Amino acid sequence: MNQSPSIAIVGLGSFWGERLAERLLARPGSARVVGIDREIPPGLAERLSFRHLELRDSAAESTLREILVSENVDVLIHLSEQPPLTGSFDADSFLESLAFPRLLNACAEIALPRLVHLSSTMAYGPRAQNPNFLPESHPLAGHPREASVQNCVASEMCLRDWAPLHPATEVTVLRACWPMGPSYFDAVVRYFDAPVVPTVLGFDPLLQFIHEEDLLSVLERAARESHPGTFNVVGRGVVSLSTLIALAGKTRLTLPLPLLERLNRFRKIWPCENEGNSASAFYDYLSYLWVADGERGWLEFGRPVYSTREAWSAFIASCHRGVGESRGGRESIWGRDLY
Amino acid sequence: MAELRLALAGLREQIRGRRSPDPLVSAASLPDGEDLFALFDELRRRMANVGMSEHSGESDEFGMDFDLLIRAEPLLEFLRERYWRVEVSGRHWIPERGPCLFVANQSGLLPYDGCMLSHILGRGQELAARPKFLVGDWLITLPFMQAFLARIGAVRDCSENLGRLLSLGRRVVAFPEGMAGATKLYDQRYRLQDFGSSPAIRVAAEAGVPIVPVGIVGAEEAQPLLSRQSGLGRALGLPLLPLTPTFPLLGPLGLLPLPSRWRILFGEPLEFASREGDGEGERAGPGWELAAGTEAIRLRIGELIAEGRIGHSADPA
Repeated sequence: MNQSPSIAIVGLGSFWGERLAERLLARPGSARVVGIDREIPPGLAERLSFRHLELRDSAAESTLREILVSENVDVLIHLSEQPPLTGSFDADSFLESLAFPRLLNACAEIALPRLVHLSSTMAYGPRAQNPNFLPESHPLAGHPREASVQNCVASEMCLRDWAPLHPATEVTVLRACWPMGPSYFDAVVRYFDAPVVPTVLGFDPLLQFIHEEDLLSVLERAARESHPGTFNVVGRGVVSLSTLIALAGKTRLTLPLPLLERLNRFRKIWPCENEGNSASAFYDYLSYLWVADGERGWLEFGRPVYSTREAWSAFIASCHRGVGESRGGRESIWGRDLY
Repeated sequence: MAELRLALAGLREQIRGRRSPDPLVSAASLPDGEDLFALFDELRRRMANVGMSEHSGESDEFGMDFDLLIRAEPLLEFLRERYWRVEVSGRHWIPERGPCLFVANQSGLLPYDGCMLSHILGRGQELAARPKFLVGDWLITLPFMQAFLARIGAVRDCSENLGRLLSLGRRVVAFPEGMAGATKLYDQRYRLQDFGSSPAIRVAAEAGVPIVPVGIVGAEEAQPLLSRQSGLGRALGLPLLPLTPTFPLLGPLGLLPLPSRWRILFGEPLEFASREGDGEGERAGPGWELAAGTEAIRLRIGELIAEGRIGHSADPA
């Protein structure tokens, strides 16, 4: 690999893609960045080479291969997967499930040196039988009723089968817990953004967050350096849901699960069509005592700057400044992302 | 933050100026013209503390709530000293420092025994070092139970959790009988069940930590179980519906324990020899050792229980 590797970011328009590109470009002696997405975010056009790609097209495979060859890409960072719990249409999630194998095929054909895939700790699945701290080796159970989590699991499974067959490619999988911070926004943040936070009666889970800056640092290191393997990317410490809500000065509305699902029809926490489904899946993630064990990730990428509690404080401080409302919904590679 | 405080102070001054002297308020029991606002502030501060103290959030990574334990201390002390009049013997067997596993007989549906044992072991030490007690899936995965038990220091009984606790140097209380031990009927009390279902002793042996056998006598009488209605319980979504002299007769109150006299007896710690070569070929040997060791611990707990039931002189307090 030469001095300045060529880094391709698939999903440039996503929250992570845009900021990661900024970071990579800001470094002196920076790597060459190739942005791949459906449309280019404003302000990046002149500094990186942008290539249009619609991964849902059946022709995406050859287009991507052509891009990777012509740009001489060394590292591909895959960020375009929908964050879990976006509650997409079944047809959408079906199309999405086809996208990742396409990307892998294109990578295989050009014997790509390095692939980084951003996944989520939600793939472990909310189960009462989970031990309190899940290592990376824990099986991915997913969530049977939530298509976006199932896609996340399917992609990882696909990658797990694919990696041994393509030893030329070094694979890094980053399983991030829920990101929090001053500007990040997704379905989970939307849930915590409300002044009244509904919780499940009889359960008080321990939660962990990663500060958006810490996750970006990990992504940046994974892009620049070689870190083969699968890592949980989580913040230090755990805080119980009730404590989080009390710290934020929010009101906690504790209801039994069936009532919560009914409540959701009136108060739209989930902006999407089948929100009932996503909401009930989400409440399963707010029920059981388990978090991911971040020890391996910390050894590999260094300790995160912010703890769970500090990430939460950063998010709360941004709410008070009214950033919450202005966190926008921008078009990303999937069109209906919440970013 | 400072600006905010200044602004608030200014606002309060404004309101204070605007306030008309109310004869009713001044006639009320405010001693020598105490400022109503100061009182209000004080009240709000206290209320905020009431609200927050429950969730000021000082908890460890398994969800043990330090504030709750500090507030529960007098209650636990009352239970220990007055209610159950717990006598402890064999205290000198408790290892001074380092991780270890206490293995005790399970009695009763609710883990009063685990809670009390961890309280007794953790008395006079910092809360963060208080021993954890393991609770089986059948109880700790129930709603309410999960949230509450985690806050008082229970951890789900599984090998990953125990291994993590021991590697952190924590002391852990385990009840390897599991559900069979908790749901045995009153006429089978103190009959030790099989230790097979719990991985606790195996994990402790692999970690090379000392295992202290503990006999708890009296806890069975605190929660006698007359009959278990499995079918009815399953219909209600519970593992079983217990019938005790007081439950469900008295409703939730019936789940409170009876004031029996308790004895807790510690035995000599047993240490599994740390295995040198952890090769595949040697699996058979340690496996047998483990089975024998488990049986030895079980026998020892049985002896301790028998000793306790006969009535044995306790350690001088």
